[in-house]
Amino acid sequence: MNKRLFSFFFLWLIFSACQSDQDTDLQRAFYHWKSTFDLASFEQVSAELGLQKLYVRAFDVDWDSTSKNPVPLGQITNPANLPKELALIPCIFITNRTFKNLKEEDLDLLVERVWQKLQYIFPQMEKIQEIQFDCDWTQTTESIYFNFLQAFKQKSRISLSATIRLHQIRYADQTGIPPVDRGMLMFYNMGELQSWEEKNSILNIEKARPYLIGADRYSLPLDLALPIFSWGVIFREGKMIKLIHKIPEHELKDTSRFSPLEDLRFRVKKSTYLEGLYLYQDDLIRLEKIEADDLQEAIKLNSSLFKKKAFTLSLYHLDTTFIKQLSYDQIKVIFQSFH
Amino acid sequence: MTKSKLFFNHSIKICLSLFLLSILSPAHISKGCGPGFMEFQGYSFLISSILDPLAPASFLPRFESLYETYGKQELIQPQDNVTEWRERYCDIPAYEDIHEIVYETNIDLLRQLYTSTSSESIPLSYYLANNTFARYLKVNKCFETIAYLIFAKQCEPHVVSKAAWDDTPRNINAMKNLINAARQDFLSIKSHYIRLRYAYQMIRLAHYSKDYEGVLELYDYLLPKTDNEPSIIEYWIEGHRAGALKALGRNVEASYLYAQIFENCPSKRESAFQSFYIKNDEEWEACLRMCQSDEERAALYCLRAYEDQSKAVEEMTRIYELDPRNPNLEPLLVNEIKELEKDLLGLEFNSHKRTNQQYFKRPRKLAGNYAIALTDFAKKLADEQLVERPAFWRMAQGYLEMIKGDNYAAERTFRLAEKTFKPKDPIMREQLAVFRLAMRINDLSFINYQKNPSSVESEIDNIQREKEVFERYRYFQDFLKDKMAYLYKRANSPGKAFIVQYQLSDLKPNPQIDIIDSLLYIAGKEDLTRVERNMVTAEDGVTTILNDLLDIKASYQLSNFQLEAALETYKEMEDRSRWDDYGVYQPFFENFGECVYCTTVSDTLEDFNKGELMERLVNMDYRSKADPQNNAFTYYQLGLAFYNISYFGHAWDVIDYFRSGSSMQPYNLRDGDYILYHPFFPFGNRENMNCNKALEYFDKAIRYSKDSELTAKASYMAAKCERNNYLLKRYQRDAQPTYQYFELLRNNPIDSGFYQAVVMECKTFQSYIASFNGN
Repeated sequence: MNKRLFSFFFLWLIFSACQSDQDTDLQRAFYHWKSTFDLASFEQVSAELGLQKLYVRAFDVDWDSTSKNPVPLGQITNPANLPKELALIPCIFITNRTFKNLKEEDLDLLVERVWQKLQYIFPQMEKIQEIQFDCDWTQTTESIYFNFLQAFKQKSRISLSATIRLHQIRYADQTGIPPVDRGMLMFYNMGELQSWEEKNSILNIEKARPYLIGADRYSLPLDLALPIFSWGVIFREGKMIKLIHKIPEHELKDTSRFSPLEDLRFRVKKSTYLEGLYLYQDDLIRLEKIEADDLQEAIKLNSSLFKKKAFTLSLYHLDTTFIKQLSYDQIKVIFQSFH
Repeated sequence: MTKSKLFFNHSIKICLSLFLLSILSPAHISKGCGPGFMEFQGYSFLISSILDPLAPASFLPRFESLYETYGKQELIQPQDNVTEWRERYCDIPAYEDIHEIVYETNIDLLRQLYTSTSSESIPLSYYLANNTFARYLKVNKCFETIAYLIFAKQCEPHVVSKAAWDDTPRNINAMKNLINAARQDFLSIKSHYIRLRYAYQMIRLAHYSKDYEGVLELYDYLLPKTDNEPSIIEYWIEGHRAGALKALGRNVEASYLYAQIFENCPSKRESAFQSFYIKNDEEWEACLRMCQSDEERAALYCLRAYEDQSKAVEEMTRIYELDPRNPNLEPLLVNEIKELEKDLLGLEFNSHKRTNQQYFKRPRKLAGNYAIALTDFAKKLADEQLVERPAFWRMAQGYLEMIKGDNYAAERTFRLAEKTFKPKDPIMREQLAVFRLAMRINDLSFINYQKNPSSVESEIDNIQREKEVFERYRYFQDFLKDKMAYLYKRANSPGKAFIVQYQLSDLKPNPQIDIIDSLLYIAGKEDLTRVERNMVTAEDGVTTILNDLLDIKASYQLSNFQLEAALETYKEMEDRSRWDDYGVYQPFFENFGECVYCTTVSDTLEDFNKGELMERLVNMDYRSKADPQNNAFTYYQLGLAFYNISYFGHAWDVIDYFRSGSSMQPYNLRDGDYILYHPFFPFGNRENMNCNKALEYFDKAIRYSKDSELTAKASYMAAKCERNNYLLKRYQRDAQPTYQYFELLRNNPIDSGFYQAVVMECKTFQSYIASFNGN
């Protein structure tokens, strides 16, 4: 009897020891938000991080004020290169103004067109287990957007998810809860981008905190998206004028062109080009980037919301520049931090 | 004003606003979630004709807006193309006929035209018989042109943008075949102009098939073999070459070409601007080195100057140094002035300055410094006289001084400018007249108003009488209204401040007593100025708004349960017969259901206008106070009246002019004041949701009632009040419904139809009863 008990305990010990986050309830994922997929660099990332899912921006839909119709934009150019071994989740970003302008009677046509295009981009649609829609809907567009989701679900018969912004979770009674199978809580872009005083508009834990009050009562099962991107916010004459995505940090160290200020801020010393934008003397730059500690804070804040739940943690977004900024090890720790 | 009339006016206002927005605003791509269709609200006194309509980017508020108004290039391109065809054929064929052949005719008709041209005996087809271009081609046997047109028509399906949702790939093989066929025949074409057009078609096909190396190879092979007069087609070809260079990573060469296209080819200016891209300082320097003249160098600075948010004055300084007569200088200056108008013009009194600040970040922090720099620049160019129109720059200098608030300097500069006007320059003179009138409005000062209000109002009247200018330019109305409102507000005259900017109907959804009293004072004055008379004259142009004001005030007082005061206000109407002008109501209707829009509630009940109702209520209130024991029914009726005129009753319009169903949404109730934001009402929409007065009377009716049915009715109505009170605070975390009066009703059931009726009618009561029956 003792021997049997010992054997059982030994097996349990081995099983427990082998258990990583990959066989817990957390699925590791990334967003791919570019038009061209670089398979070579992705394979390395995927192998290093043990990714299980890839959310792929398939295309956007925006309202064309000339033709007064929704139009597709930014379609992925080389879907054939997408990895075969991962679960792919096509994402379609639809601007809120599309639904503001769309008439209810044109909804079915939009559903049909989006569905047709997805099938064109992903010919092996039977392998797709989930489709995600991204729309920053408001009270005025809630009804038509939700009708769209319902109609699309009926057409595709595929599990749907929708992105959920912080304000939508906080004021769910006003903005409604989308009729989908899962929600992806986008835990970023939460600060006051346009204010020079803002510390980091991508991830500002203090600003996010109140938005999560009552989030545990949100009736949709949630996944979580955390940011790993950076950008430069450009101010001219006191006004935010542009964002420089993937701002080359090393260039900001060139003291002949930029004077460093406090807190990752810079003043343009002499007029110069930076990543295609012409900056004038005295323009100001706020560099916003994500450090591993910031992400740990974000995880801490979200931990109770996702505790003992099966969910996907997806990082936004896949770009070798951002991954280099954080290192594979740091990203691995992030994936493991929800234990 | 009746409910339907108010609604009608409101709808008209919405329609008008949308219409104005659609015609006055450029097509707008909203930047994600934002303040709905809110637009920046300011003024501009630059007249559209001040710029040469052919000037580059004339009157486009920053060139980036081209992206939004695209379609413009699509218009210019065929115009320029047809014009050039016409020039090449001695201006003989009609413009429309060339357009028809080039853009509308199908390939079969063109083939028939070719056949007809081959033989004199074959007439032109019926469709082309009257086409002057087709006739010209036939008579002059222009086989090469017709063959080219057929070829271009064959290329067309391959080189146009596909329908938005069309995923079918381009037929690259067919495109290659077309290129090869044309290339084979190229050298046999005699007309070098037609050769050029073939070259364009071939290069375009290569570009659309993404054969970028092919584009460059074709360019190098074909262009040296054409020896034509200058043509826009050369720039169109350069556009495709630039595109290919850019795709191949040769960005500097591409950007250089785009700059030249931008400068020289209006029909491709928009796409050249959008495609121009310099990544870093090295590329900029390299691009400058490619330029062969100062004019070419200036074109590079122009592109940078037109960028959204550029500090154009720096770029303009370089452009001026390189090419003082550059045609971009004037439109650039105009764009910069328009930006400064948003920052500084009427900043002190703009009635939308808070939303402009919040949503559009105006004024920019350093706008004042920028205005100084731009004024200095304009002065320098006016002084040096090297530009095309020094007077234009002098006048701009004056206007900038005015925008900065220095009207004295502005007038001095305007006088200087006036002296340099050419004798026949009506546009400059008109522009100056507009600036001067704007300055007169700007000059209206609070200090002067304090000293002598009537003289300022007389000046306002004179300004409004400058009809030729004042009525022709739309911004004057707003500019003057905002200025007047600002002056009146500072002078503590809220009525005037309100009425110069709004309609009286805008006050009704949430009456402001200080404004009403202020307007009542003016309406009652005997020695009105002309401006004041306009303020208090009704829409019919004959009567005054005095009675309307009294109606609003009395309704407001009644909504605050000031019965006697409301009645006294109503009695101030000089003629009691006017009381009927403000509607008749049945406030004593027993409405046990939920109906707020039952317009005719009963044939048997007495109708009351507001004044009569107030008299009746005052009388009932006195009576019941005097002998409460015997006035349970009176209390019940008072309760009914106050319930029915509240937000929840069918006679809500006795004390309100605008009711919105959405006002009961939790997010509208959170602040507890029942005043809701509304885009068209300056003080929002106030809802009369307080049921406490009605509840107080129903409670007294219950207390003094000796009749079980009356008790039941009063209990039921009191329960409705109780329910409404809960609904108003249901968003609060600790809010719990109470059932004091339902309990009363449940414990004292009566054997009458009423009890059964309310059980049937009221779902809340049904579920309350059911909870006791174990259901």
